[in-house]
Amino acid sequence: MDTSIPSNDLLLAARGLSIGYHGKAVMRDLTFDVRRGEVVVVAGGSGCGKTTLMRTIATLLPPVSGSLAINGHELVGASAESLSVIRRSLGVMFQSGALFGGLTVLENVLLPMEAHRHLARPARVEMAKSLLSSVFMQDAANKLPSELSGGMQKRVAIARALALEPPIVLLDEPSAGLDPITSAELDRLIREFCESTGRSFLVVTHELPSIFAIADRMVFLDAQSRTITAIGTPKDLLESGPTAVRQFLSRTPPDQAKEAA
Amino acid sequence: MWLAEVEPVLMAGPSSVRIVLPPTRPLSLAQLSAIVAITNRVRGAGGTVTYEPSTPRLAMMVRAFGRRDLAPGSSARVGFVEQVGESAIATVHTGVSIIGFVAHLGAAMASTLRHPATMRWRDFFSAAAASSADALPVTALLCFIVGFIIAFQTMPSFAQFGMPAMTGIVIGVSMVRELGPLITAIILSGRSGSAFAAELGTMTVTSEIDALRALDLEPVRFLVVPRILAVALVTPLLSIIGTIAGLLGGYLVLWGKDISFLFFYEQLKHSVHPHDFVQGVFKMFVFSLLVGAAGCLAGLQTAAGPGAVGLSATRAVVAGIVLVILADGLMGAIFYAIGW
Ligand SMILES: Nc1ncnc2c1ncn2[C@@H]1O[C@H](COP(=O)(O)OP(=O)(O)OP(=O)(O)O)[C@@H](O)[C@H]1O
Ligand SMILES: [Mg+2]
Repeated sequence: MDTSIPSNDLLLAARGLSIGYHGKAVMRDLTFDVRRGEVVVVAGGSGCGKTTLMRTIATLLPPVSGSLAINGHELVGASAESLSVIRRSLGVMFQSGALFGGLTVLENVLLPMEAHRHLARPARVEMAKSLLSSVFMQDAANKLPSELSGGMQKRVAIARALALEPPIVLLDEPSAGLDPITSAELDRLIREFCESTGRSFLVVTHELPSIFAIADRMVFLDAQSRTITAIGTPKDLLESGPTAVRQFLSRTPPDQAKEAA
Repeated sequence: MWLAEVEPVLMAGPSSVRIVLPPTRPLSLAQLSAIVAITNRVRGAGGTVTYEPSTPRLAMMVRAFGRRDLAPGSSARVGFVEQVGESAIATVHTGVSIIGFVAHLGAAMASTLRHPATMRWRDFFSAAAASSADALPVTALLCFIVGFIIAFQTMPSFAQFGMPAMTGIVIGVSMVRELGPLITAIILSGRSGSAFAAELGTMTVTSEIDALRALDLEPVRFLVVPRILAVALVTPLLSIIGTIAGLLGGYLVLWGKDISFLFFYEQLKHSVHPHDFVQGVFKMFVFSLLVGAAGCLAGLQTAAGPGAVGLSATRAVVAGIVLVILADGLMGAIFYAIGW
């Protein structure tokens, strides 16, 4: 790898990655890293391809071209075994939550552990409960997902994504649909998990307060040029990033910016 | 330019209106809809409208926006022959994808049987209960009625030749070898095949299938295998019960002709052999695999969109029944060829 970072600290490395559907790229030539213990925020306009990027990293969508290494394993052309290794090193929270409708909240969090972790059942249940209480959902343990609000479902989905203690956690708009207080609590939780366990997060979010609260670095996907136009800390990008990124981070519509100029 | 401002002018019923447009900027949607509203009002009252500057693009936009609801039934008509052709092609496609799916499924089943602890027993039992105990009344009833009808329809012909009791043989052979399994399979397709498609289809639409894959849980192994094993293990029993109900339904007609049950039983013993029963049960086993696979495959192939789950359930039922009848014919030919 052509960086000075030790490669075992490079949890995710995209090189010239093009992503899209049916061989047609939505985003092209993406090159970025996620290092150990780092929160990277992916931002960009609605419909620009953030979820597509998450799905590609989550191994659900084949890359159109380029290379993508996850925890040291190359995704492109991966064998079934290494695909399995990659999947177990990822925790994924989908934009829709995607909880298993037939299982209770607790069972949703238990399921990945039952499948992949050799823990005694009481230990598993304890762990699932503590995960649920860290997203403030301990009281809903025995409810079905259909009995929860959208924001509550997302929090349970975050707990499920953390269940296997994966080194990389992908969160697709975790705070969309949450009130500002819960959203701030969640931001704190993400930082805390990241700092105390050295886990890395790749988080899609539009929420400016969240971006400034959690991001070590931000990757900006530009809808026009269909690629990454800026990578850096939110503060640096706000001060000296490309115009589109500054507008995004200061919530200025392009029209107004032009008139102000 | 707002409608309220020009309202007094429009009220006067002008015979010609000139709309002066802003020079450079493209029109906003609000402006465009105001222009359309004015145009429609004035033209509706027999007046004329001109735009300045007038571009073909604007005229086109006004026409497009001003359009009233599309006339019903205006969609392109598809000829009957094309429809038949398309559905034949679709059937072949479904058939081919099911064969590929069955191969994948076979591998998943083999590995589940080697490691039974990895099976989702909860899904297995709920699918088993739903496709057996819950389906029992309707299966038994339908088989009973069909048995009765066959006896009722064939009896007069046999009676013409002076041997009404022969009806028993027809009922026995047709129910045991053919209709018992077939009716059970059709009911299975309508009840369980569609239910599997709807369950898995909903899971596809809500990304639950993706969530399973991301957790390194193979959906085929995790969701499909328990369901198919459940139907394959319980429905042969169901078809035996259905067959017996059909025989009883047929006997009801014989009973009306004062033919004793013992006589009917003797007739069955001579015309229906144990291997006929085995054949029926084997057929049902194959049918249930096909119906289960068609249902689950339709569910996993569910597209996005509001009607998608319903469409998958429909596809599951149609594909299930088509496959069952094709397999029935094929197995009939094979059994005949090997003299079974
Ligand atoms: N299944 C699909 N097949 C084909 N194209 C798709 C599919 N899903 C999404 N797209 C297209 O890919 C592009 C990116 O979609 P994506 O869902 O990744 O956007 P996003 O950045 O997550 O948007 P949002 O912020 O609204 O969630 C869109 O233009 C969309 O039309
Ligand atoms: Mg998205």
